[in-house]
Amino acid sequence: MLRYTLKRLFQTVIVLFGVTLVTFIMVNVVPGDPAAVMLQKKADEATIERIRDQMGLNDPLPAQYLRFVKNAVTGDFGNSYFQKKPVITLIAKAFSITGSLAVWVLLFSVLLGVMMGTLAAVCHGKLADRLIMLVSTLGMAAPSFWIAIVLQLIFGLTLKWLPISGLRQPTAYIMPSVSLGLIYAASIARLTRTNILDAMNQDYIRTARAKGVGEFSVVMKHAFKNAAIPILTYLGTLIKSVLGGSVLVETIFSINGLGKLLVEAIMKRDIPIIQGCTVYIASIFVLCNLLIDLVYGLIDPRIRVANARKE
Amino acid sequence: MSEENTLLKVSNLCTYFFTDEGTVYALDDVSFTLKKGETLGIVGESGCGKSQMALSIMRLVQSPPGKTVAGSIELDGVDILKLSKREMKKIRGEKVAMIFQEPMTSLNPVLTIGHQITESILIHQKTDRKTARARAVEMLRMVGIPLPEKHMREYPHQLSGGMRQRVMIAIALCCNPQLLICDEPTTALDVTIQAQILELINDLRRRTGTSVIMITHDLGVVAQVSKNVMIMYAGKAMEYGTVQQVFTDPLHPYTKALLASIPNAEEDARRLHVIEGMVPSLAHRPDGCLFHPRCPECRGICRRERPELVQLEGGRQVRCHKYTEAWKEAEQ
Repeated sequence: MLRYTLKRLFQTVIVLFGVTLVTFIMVNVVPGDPAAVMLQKKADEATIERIRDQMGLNDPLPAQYLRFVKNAVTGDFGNSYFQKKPVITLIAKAFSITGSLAVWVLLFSVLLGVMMGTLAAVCHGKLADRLIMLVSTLGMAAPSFWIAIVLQLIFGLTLKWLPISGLRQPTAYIMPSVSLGLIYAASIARLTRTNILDAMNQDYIRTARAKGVGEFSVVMKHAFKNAAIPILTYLGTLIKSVLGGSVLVETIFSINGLGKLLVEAIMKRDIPIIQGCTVYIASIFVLCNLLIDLVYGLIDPRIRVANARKE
Repeated sequence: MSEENTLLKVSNLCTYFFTDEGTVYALDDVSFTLKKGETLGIVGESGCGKSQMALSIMRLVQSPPGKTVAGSIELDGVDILKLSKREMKKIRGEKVAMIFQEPMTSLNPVLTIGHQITESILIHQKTDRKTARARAVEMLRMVGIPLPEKHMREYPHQLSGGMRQRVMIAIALCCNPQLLICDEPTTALDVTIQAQILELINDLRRRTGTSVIMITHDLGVVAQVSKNVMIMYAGKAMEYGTVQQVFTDPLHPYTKALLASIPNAEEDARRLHVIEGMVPSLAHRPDGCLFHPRCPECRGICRRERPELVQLEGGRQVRCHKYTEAWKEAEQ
């Protein structure tokens, strides 16, 4: 297990290097001179040239790349052209907001999804099952920004129960979490239902029943543990996309999260922020994948062995 | 048959499946008794209702569409078909235990062997985890698994098929059940392992006094382990008697055909003997005797009337018109 972990960590580092390279090339092939953008076309040629020299933009590309990677490893992505603050500080601030929201989204969608999915599986074919499946289809079809606006209208404007924007009070987390999490909850519910139903048809369930195991334990222990692996895979995808931030929902609720930071940076060609955010989001993806692979082994002993054999 | 010695008395058991294509008569009017410490073999082709018999006794028939619609199953004088779900849960695993056909898939892949054995002990006996574990180790040793402590911590995929079936037997016997139902316990195993497992079941039966129902399609298995045998065809019992009686002097044409289809090493046969035709669909059963379309001795009465079970001397039973008064007058 340790060797496998180290091997995966090494692969992760290589992937991250690849990401910095691609990001660097992309930013450099896209037309537009950062120095000119920064000075907002107000300066003359000589000034722009001076700034380019200062920023090291006249150095050969490999040298620029090496500098970029060297700084990136220490967490330094330079300063934002417009906000005049270190990129890493901006990302950290946005991340703390997106991250705390992500925790609520995750809790909401996993709890609701798993509960509803299990309930549907237990009531397979009955009214409760059909109802849950119908609602989950709607939940998957409804875009999160639409849900956000509807929630704002009902709970914010009409009932005045919840604050419409910002994240100042704890209750302010409810609407963004629900509008972001509903689609995930719906997917998790369907996934849970399918996998529990599949597990319930297996021979080991019959064995458990023949042992005199109660129906609750049959579902929650014998079936659920087997159904958990596909749910876990999906959870990985979920965490990755939630931590990347959501532009639409963040804009609707005036939350200064990562999505908003990145999109505003792209609009203004604030290259250091774009580079920093890309590397950050890529790291989240790669690390999540690593984490999920390691957790698999904990849940399913067969994967543990397969990994050991591969070495 | 002395009544107090009887452990299980199944009377007129009917388990039907209500499907879109009609009613499937998986078990139709099956009766038998099993004494304490004895082994009954139930033999039949695939789809003749053998496994549904086992599941009916456990009350684990897939429902819907399956349902035990009539009859009684008396275990120690108590009709278990009348018990509540909660009372039935206590019977399962504690009084009646079951071993299944597929050792590869019958154990939960994500729980350790130890967990799966102790679980059953903890459900049925009021003991702590430590005692249950000790009992589980003892059971593993009893079923012939070397290094039981080590295997307690292992997962099913780390064991071979034969070892897994031994674990299944350990799970089944850990609460000292009065009745052990084995549903094709050796079908998925290779021949040498088969013999070992049968030997083990036989040995444990002798030591624990458990009664055994051995369900199989393999006449050799029955000959090896059981005292009595019931031949089933299309959901009905066709013949019943001791292994000695049925194997040396088969009465029912189906039994005769079954015995004839065992390859004989001494006979220089170019072709294997087969029973012509197919097992009838249990949803669309033929009129008259269920076996008549394949029966070499079929007469007119066989096509018209369902034969009743005929009681013969020595406790033998056979479901065939041949052994009734009507046969002599029956036209060809």
